[in-house]
Amino acid sequence: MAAETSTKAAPTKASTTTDLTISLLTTDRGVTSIDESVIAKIASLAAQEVDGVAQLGGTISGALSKVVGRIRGDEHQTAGVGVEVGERQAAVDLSLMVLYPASIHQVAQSVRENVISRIEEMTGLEVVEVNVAVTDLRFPGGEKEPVEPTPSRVQ
Amino acid sequence: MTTRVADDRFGVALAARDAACSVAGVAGLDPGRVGEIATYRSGRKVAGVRVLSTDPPHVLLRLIVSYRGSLAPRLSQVRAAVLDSLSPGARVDLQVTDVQTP
Repeated sequence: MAAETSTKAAPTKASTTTDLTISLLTTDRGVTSIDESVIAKIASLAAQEVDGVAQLGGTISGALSKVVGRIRGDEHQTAGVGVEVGERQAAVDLSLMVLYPASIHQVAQSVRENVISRIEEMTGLEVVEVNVAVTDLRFPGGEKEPVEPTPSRVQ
Repeated sequence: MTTRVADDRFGVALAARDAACSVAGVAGLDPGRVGEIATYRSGRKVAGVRVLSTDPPHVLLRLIVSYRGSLAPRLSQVRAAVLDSLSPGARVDLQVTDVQTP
């Protein structure tokens, strides 16, 4: 994964950041940096905006992240999203499930376009590639929906 | 514009936080996973701000931004607002750590 990209800012940043960070702007009044997780989250939100995307992640990672997310209490999942961020460019890998009967190619293309435009418009990074892996087909009937908890028999 | 000259760490952190949060599109400040980024005074703290020096002021702000719109102009606005609230010659480091889910 991408590492520190700013040369000037390295000394101050090293002591203050805990994870991978990209530095977009170094001014004489301070440094601006955007965490890699922010790019991942934008990609995740952008992909889920597309109609025809049922859920991000694979079948196993989806189920896992749901459990982990519930334990950690965070609603924002970046499951199924991998990003690589450089100084000016970013690459995104997505795995997602498509909702039947949407056209898989069209969904993938729309996801790609939306992810590119959102990341580029928000961060100014150039997105060089968005790889979409379709891991499953989901049905609107919800055969794979989580089972509703059975109501208590006693009141 | 108001110019507040706050000399102590806590005053600097407070001024920086208020200035940053007044900018539209800033959802809040991020204190880190275990709340490790903060500036303290007995009984109080400013979360998400670290004061690296007070003379001249040098602060680090960890921002949570809202999802829509371009970040670059918003971040310049934040930097301008924070600089405006501190003594002249200040440095403002901004780190975007999270996006607020719509």
